[in-house]
Amino acid sequence: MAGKGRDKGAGKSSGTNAELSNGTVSRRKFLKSAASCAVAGYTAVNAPYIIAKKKVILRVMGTHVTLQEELRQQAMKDLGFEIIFEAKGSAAVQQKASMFPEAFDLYEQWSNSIDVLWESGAIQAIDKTRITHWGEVNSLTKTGKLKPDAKYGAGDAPYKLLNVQKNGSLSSHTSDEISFLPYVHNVDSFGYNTAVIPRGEPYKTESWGWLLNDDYRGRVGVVNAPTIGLFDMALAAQARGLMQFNDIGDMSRQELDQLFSILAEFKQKGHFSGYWTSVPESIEFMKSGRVVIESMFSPAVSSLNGQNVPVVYAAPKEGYRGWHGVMCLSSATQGQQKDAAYDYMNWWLSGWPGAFIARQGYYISNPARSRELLTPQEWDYWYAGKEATTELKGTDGKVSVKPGAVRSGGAYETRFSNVAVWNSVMRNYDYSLQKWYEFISA
Amino acid sequence: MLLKLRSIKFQILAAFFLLALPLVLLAYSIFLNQQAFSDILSRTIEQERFISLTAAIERDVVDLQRNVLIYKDTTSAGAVKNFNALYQSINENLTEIAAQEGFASDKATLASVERHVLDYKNNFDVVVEYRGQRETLVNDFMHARVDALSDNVVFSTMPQAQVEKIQFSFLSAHNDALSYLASGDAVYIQQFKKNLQRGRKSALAAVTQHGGATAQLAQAIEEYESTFFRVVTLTRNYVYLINVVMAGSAREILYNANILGETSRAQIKQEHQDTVATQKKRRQIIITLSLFGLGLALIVPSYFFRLITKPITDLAKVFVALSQGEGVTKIPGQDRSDEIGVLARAADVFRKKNEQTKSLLILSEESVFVQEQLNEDLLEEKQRAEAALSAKTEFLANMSHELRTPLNSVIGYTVRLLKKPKGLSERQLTSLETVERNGRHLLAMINDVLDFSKIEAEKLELHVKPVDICQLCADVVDQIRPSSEEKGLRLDYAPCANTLELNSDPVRVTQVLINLLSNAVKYTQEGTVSLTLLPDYDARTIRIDVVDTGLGIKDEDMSRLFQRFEQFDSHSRFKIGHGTGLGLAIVASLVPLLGGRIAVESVFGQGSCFTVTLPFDAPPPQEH
Repeated sequence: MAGKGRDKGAGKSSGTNAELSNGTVSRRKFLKSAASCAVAGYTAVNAPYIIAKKKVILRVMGTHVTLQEELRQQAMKDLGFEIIFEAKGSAAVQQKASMFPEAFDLYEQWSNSIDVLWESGAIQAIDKTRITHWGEVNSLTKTGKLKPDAKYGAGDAPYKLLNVQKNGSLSSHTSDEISFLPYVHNVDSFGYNTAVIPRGEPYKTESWGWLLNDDYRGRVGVVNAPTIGLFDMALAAQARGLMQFNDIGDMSRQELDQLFSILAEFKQKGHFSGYWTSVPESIEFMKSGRVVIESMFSPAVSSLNGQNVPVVYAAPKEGYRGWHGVMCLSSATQGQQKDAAYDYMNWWLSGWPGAFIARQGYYISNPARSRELLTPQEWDYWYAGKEATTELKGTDGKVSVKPGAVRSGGAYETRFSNVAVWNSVMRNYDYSLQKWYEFISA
Repeated sequence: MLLKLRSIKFQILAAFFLLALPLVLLAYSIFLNQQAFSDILSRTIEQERFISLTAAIERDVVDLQRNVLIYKDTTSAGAVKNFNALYQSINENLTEIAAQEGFASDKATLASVERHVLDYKNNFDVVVEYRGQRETLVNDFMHARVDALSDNVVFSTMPQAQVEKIQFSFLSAHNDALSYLASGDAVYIQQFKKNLQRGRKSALAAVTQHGGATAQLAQAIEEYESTFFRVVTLTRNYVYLINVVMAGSAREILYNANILGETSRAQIKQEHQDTVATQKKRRQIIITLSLFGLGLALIVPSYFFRLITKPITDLAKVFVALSQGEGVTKIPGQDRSDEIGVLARAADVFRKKNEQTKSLLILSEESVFVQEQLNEDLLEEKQRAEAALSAKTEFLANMSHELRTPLNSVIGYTVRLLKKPKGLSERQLTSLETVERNGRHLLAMINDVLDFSKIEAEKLELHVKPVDICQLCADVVDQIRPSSEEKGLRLDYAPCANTLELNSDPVRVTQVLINLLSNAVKYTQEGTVSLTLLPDYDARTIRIDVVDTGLGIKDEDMSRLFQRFEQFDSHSRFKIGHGTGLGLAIVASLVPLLGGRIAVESVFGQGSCFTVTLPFDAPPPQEH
């Protein structure tokens, strides 16, 4: 089924590809030069291109994590066509994408949505050869390991979902087509307010088990997403020795039953204060004091720190919950739209966006190209896990890192070598939805 | 008026103000208390409403979830209807909550509720759409498609066992699909994939083997598979929406609605506490004010007793003492600058006046004594003066008599000479006539003086006897007639028809009439002088009018008319000639002696009317 969509797309767009290749090439040239040179000369290079092209409006659907206004402005400036961002919550965006591929050109979300999207035929395969810097993309998504001694991590490790096979399935076996463009990724854990909870030691005392610590009863927040929050809870239950999983990335029904019965007990005691569905909501939870510990995404931690809420993003000894951003091409997108989509994907790996999101704590799949746009201090702090020697500013221009700070969890490689589980759509996903409902509504 | 600080008026005003102040403050405090009470009451009522609104929202959300579950299982249109009604109700309640500014202070929480409610509704709309689509797809999938897969012309030519094997694969796949739809277990999806793949593989191989076209079959299988996954996706999506997204929204709505309620409860509790605290503070103020007022109420009367009542009593005693003429040496409160001071100083003035009166009394007693002596002296002097006057009158009478005697001789001899005018020159005659005339005039004057003197000395004796007044008047007219004729005046007198006899002094009556008539003639240049008698028998009086058409008398001269030696302006004197000036004075004196009255009416320039009213009987002479 998925293959059919892809074939159709290829057939329809073949006529227009030749016409537009020149423009595409010239833009790529420009992008290459823009990475090392100043932006001067941009208009001269681009002006004929804009005139030559029909008006393209690229529709990008995704979450607030990557659909940021600064990125859109920069992309429009660099690419010369209009881009519309449609940002929604993880669930809503995935639903819409899986049902209405015609509603978007590019879809930016997490690797755990790939199975659903791919199965529903909402996305088409991406031609690796049209990704300019594919060669620079690191081994995390290609082999699953940044270092030989790293853990793969349980669940839907992105490298397992990357390659589109001839039979339409996705696997780690290298092929010419990929289901998503690897770009932004990070590891998640939980954040805790050190005004209430004593600061722990990364990888040593900090533990997922804290989420089920009775001391924090009534002040615990969980992300309302079974493909994410479920693992936080599973890791917590396992860390507290309440149960063990055969494969935490692929739980059985019995395991799910056991886990949710444990959670139900906690719930009944009023352990959980809230289930957040968006990053701003998670910020508000922590800021208002509604919770003192919760599942978090790193921008929420940065934001809270910027607002002087002393939140620490834990480096749990059990390992992180990894997530990998995926950029997917709508199965309905063809022709000029598709070319623009490829341009946008290539722009993402062109350096500037990687540097931009690095300042928000995210990693890019080809970090070397972005390193050129980061100061050595920035690189040392964000990627190398070294102590900050100067004040570092976030993308909002405010100081987000003070001298002396060290990124929790350490260097990029260290963090990604300690992934306990990836955000995943398990085989028992449907069952987990039922249990999740009980968990939320009970 | 300037209000003096030390004045009692000011002090009374001040005392009143001081007494009124706590009262006013008390009233104000009570008013404030009442208001605070009423405020908190209305706030409590508002809060009750607010709480009931949040509770209604919570109830409705639970009901929403119930209806969503009903819909999920049954696709009941009733559940959708219920859902929409509940959604509307929630929105109405939210609108009302938002309007309650006083409680919906937590805008972020309210906004979160509103956002989640909207999300919930939007997601439900999607659920309804997905669920509807799924219903259709499931129907299609369950009935037609699986038969179509093995309903191919090629299969009829194939061995039964091979066809059955292919059909078994498809039916197994279909069974798996139905199992998935019934249980929702993902295991069946994998089995479905496996069985369908197997069926597809063998079916396509068989068709190829038997020389048939595979495209149509492949497409049918793909559509079949696609439909199933479409159902799976739809199911997953709406289940995800219901179980995760909407459940999360509902939970947030409940949580935040509860927070709103709790916040308002905490707020009203705080307000209650604040009110109680304020009331407590006010109560202390009220007690303080009451005590202050009570204290004032005690102090003020005693202060005013000392300030006013006692000094007034003291001063009253002073006044009583002063009124009884007792000696008062010291008046209290004189040095005070208020009204009591004024009163005390007034008392002092009274005391001083008292003393003055006393000394005046002594002085007047002395002066009365002096007066009495003076009176005695005066009486003496009067008697002496009267004696002197009597002597003068006597002297005048004697003198007149003594003067008349030689004058009569002069006149007599002159007359004798004139009777024998022979041998006398014209000049001598004229001189003699002058002598006679002047002599007679002098005699008349002397007589007048004598009469007047007698009258004044009350020595004039009346000789009353019967008198025919008509005759008397005729005689008088005859006497006057020559002089009137001399002046060319008409002298009217109508003599009486009968005699009218009076008892009076004929000499004096004659004297009166002659005086009046001669005056009338004297002051009349032309016209008439008339004498009229008018007896009144009832009153037993006779009225005698002497009327002339002469000069008349000016009003201002009337008062002096009967005074002695009065003659009017020099002009008339010149015209009329000399007289003694005693005529009318004598008339005025004589008429009363005769018991009559005299009156005069005159219009200056037109004439005069002298009226003498005499009684028929003159009064007897009075004894001196």
